[in-house]
Amino acid sequence: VVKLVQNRRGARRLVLAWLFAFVAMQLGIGLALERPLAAVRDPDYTARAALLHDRIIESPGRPLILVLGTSRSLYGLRPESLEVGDRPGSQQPLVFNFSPHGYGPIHHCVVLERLLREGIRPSAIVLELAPYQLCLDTRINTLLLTRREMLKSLPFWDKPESTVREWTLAHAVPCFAYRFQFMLRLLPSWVPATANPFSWSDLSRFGWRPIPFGNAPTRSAAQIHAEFGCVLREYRVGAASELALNRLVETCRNEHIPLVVLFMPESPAFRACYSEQAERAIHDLRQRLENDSGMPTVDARDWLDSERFFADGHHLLPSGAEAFTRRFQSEVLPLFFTPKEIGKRSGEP
Amino acid sequence: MLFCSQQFLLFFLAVFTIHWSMPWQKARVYLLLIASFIFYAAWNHWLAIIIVVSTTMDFLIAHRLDASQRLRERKALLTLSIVFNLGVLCYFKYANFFLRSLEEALRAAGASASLPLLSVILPIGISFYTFEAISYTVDVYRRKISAERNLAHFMLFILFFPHLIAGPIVRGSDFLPQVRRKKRWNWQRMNVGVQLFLLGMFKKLAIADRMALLVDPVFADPGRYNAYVTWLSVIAYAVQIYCDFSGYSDMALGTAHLLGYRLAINFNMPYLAANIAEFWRRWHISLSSWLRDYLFIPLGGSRGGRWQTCRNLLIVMTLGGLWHGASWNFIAWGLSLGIWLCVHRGFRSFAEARPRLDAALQSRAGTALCVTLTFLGVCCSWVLFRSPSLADASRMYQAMFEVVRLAKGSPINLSSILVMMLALVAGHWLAQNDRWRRAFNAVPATVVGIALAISMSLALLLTPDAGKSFIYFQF
Repeated sequence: VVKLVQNRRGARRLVLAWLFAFVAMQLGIGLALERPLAAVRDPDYTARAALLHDRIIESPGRPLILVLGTSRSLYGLRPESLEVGDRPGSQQPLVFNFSPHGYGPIHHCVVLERLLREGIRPSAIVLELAPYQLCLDTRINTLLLTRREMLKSLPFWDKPESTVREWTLAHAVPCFAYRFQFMLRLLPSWVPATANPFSWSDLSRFGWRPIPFGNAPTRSAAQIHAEFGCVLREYRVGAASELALNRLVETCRNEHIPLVVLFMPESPAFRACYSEQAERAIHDLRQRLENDSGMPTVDARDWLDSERFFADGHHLLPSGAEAFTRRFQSEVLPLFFTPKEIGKRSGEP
Repeated sequence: MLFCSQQFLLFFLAVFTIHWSMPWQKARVYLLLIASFIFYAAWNHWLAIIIVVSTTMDFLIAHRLDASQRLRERKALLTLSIVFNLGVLCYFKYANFFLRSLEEALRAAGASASLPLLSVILPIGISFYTFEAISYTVDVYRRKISAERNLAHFMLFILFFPHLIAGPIVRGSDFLPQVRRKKRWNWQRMNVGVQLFLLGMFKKLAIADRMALLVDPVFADPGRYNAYVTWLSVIAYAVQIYCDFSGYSDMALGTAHLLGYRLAINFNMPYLAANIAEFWRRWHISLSSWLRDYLFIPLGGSRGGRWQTCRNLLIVMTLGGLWHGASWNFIAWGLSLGIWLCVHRGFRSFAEARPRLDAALQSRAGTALCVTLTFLGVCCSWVLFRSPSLADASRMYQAMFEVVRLAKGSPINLSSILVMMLALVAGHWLAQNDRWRRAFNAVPATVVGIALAISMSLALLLTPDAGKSFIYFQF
């Protein structure tokens, strides 16, 4: 099969052409991932940002309440169910759920800074924190970041040099590092199910996503305890998460954006996993945020007192999302707006 | 350190650069030796020491063997070398299999036996380098080659990293003269090396690893899927093992060429074979020729009568099966192929005595039929090779031949599998009768270079997995 080039100059031309073309191709794609191919680099962000743009264009001038959170709020807060939600032309607040799957405050920092750069300035932010993720110090996938963002995120990493190396190696051969993202655009059916963690495909117009594993049997208390018990027993807020929180607070303060911290509902079995030390640490965190930074915190962990609302103790099923969103409307939104601004729920007198 | 991993590419880039920037051949040999040791030690440094010790032992024995003129001493030294090499192989690879089998046999006989198992790790590539060492000692004994005087040269013959893990099984007579020869930069050779490496990479990443997406779930739960999916997964495994192993061999040949060495080709489009004997002349050529030269011919080959030849074929193929792995599956696989070879010999004599039948078989349609039947037969034999146990293999066969059955459809979308299978068929069609070369020669070299860069990017893009090991690494 191999072409045996008899001519030495021909062989040299072939090898050099291959080398230069390959390097140029990789460099070109690597550079393009910074901006023109940003949708390939971070498809999740791009999909959500596009939805948000559409909602803003539909009703310009509405104050934007941006919910930045984890998978808990992704599945648990359904802005469509709010009175203020889906009403084009309304001047009432626009609540948009910008919560990705599996990330914590470090990711929220990046998202907020990107939105501000793109000229989207929320009127208020609801920052949802998952206590166990704060403890695990969930980082961000470096492949999602531009070079500038990666360098800016270095203080969050224990070994910044390995982060730089990982990012550089990925961008040296982006055809390999971003293959699933490319293939999802070109030939989605060719991507193995295990390599398709992206969750933008079935987002609602306001960023909510119904839980994909909602049909699975509800997890037992023992299973929940086995999964989260050890994290919530020896609890402490991770240093990187704390740093990211501080940066978020500072950004919001500089931009004069009101911020509310929210802890999403958890099932009784999940709440039973918290040790006293963990409860104390969360209490301390709330105190610190309220007293030092002057931001209100809402602990909604005990808002839904039945396991039937949850898929696995901390991710809400659509019925749970409905119930939580109603209470969100009545208890969280008033922290930013007067009831008159928010409007009354449809059907109510 | 997999050939298509970033780690290996960086390692190879460093070795390649230093190798060609050094003007001294002696220093290059030492560089390759150190690189090969690092390459092997990346898996396990203790096992790297074992290979160095056994290689030194072989070097010393061969040296003495070459110097000795007394037949009895020479025979004793040859026996020592073979026993030593096979002893190491048996200890690491087969001891637990034999102990387990013995235990099961004792239990079946009613004894309550519990034999202790050895806690050993299988040194990667042991089957390959053991055969290389044996062939070298036998060749020295037969006076086909002289014993190598330079330990570094001999060690490089065994340890040379492109062929160390999964072959091809090199012969001293091919490799050692190349070590002595001074290397000069050669663009033609670089061109061949690059093309072979890219071809292997494409086969492995884009085709073999994709086939695994279907093969792994179906073989993990045989009987769960319908006959169509089961058959497709068996064919997919035939494609996977070919692209995985021949892809590795191509990459090995490519990296060797890039360092100025030539290794023997290991595959020659085996699925185009019209019968099982031809298949074995095209598949894993370095192993089948080794088995022929060092086992089949010493056993008497086909010089005796029909039954003696069949006996020799069965012995060789069964041992060839066992060489692949320590399990009854591999023994059954080898035995089944041995039986097939015997049947084929019988049928060939039968057909040769009937000119009309022979002419029909030699015709285009007859050849196409023979190729198809051989391919399907080989696919069926791969079921034994791939299944974790004989019971699983029997469940696979059951699922393949049960036509009407309500069972699950495919575990994945089959379009990618079918497209890549077609790509392989197209590749074979192009490679036949030099079509590929003629097409390439009509295009300027620069365009071919750019096409290669695109195909390399495509291979990377189509990779469905990260770091899937080569199938033959387990042997």
